[in-house]
This record gives sequence, structure tokens and C-alpha cells, in this order.
Amino acid sequence: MMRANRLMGAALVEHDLVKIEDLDGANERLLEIVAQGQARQNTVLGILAYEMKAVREEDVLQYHVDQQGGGAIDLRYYEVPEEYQKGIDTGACWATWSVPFDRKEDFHFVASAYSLSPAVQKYWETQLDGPILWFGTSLEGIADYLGKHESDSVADKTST
Amino acid sequence: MPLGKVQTHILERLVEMGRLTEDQSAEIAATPEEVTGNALDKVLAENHGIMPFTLLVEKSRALGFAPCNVARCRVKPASFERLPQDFCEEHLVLPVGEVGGGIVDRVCQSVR
Repeated sequence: MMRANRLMGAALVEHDLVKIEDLDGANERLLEIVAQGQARQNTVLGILAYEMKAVREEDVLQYHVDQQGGGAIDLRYYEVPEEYQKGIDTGACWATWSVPFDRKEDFHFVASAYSLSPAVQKYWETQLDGPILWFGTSLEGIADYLGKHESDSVADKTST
Repeated sequence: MPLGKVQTHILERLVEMGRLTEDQSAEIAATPEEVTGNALDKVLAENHGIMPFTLLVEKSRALGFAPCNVARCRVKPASFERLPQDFCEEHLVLPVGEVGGGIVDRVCQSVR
């Protein structure tokens, strides 16, 4: 999680989306949040975009689309196959702010708010066997999807 | 030159992806007559085993679009709130959500 955040922050600076002094402040704030154990708030991008207003999340998404040739996805409008809903490693998804959500031929589809982070790219490349198509999405989009997945899992366990 | 710029780019991408060898790419590019998009698709599929989605991925990248599996995109009443349905039908565009304040859309493979 820390590596995903550290390299995400570095990528934001490298691509001129964030100033180094803002990143330093966001990293300090991230350490406070981690110490409080608020796993879902563990995002340097969220701190930069929504607490410090140092970058707009849509600018990060736009960079992903324009400069990296990636797509964008709104998971609320996608029929995620059941195998991807059941076999999901939510811990890894929260740590990387990413969700694998489909596969076609040998291409894996991964939605991510952190696709600029080399640590996140490397993690999923190692986990998934085959080329990855990266789809940018918002932190809120990932959090909503994982939150719904977790509440559905709890409901399933309660009903059985 | 028998192959167009986009077609050449598709072949280059397939070589980069390891789906075609340099020799296979050169052989296709050496075809003396004009090759239509459909004819190239057919050669790649039938002679070189390139799967349809792989071809779609490289074709979209060559055209500057991000590929997606539209078959799984949900169309809801809210889909056409920001882009009217008649406009979408005319321009072969499918809005499939909003991310970060922008509309996510899919452009149908155009044969026009």
C-alpha cells in the first residue's frame, strides 16, 4: 500500500501534475491516516485532490487517457462477470486502488485510480497472466465498487 | 504503397505484442495490390491466427482509441441524460458512464 502510494506520488510529480512540496505535505498526512488505521482513506491521491486541492482527480484521469492511451471506465455501467465478482482479492484492490473486472481472449481489464503508479502496474502484471488493458476510474468509483462487493459478501454469508 | 498508415501501424503493434513475426509482417506489407481493412482482417485471422479481440485492440490503438468490451456495457435510462440518444445513434457513440466529471463513451467500430 505504501509503495503504491509512494510511487503514485512520485509519478504525479514526474508528470507535472503535482508540486513536490505538496507531495511532501500529502505524504506526512498519509502517515497520520495510516497510524489511525483508516484503510480506506490511505490514498495520497485522495489527500492531494480532496484535502489539499493540489490536483484535480479528473486531470489525472485525463493524463492517463491522453498520454498513456488508456481508457476510462464507470463500473456502475458494466456487467462485471461473476468470476471477477467472487474471486476478487479486496485487500490487494484497496491497497492498489484497482479492480480487475473482465477478461477477453488473453487480455485482462483492470480499472484503476492509480494506473500511473509503477508499483501498481507491476503488482497486477505479476498477478495476471497476459497483457493488461488499463481503464482509469475515480477513487470514488473503486471505493463504491469494493464497498458494494464487501456488503454483498456479508449479506451472502448471513443468508447461508 | 499497398498498406495504409493505420494498417502499417496495426502490423507494427502486432509485431511488438509478439503476435506476428517481422517476417510475417513484411510478407503482408509486400502484397502488391491495395488491401482493404476487411481483407487485412481476414488475412490476419485466417493465415496468422490473430483473434478478433486482439485485432480490435490493435486497431483501436492505431486509431487512437482505447478498446473496450462494449457487450458488457450497461445501457440505462441515465445513459442518455448528457448525450441525447438520437445524437448517439447518428454518430455511433454509446455513453457508458461518467468518470471524474467527464462522459465515458464508446465509439462503435465504424465501417462508413
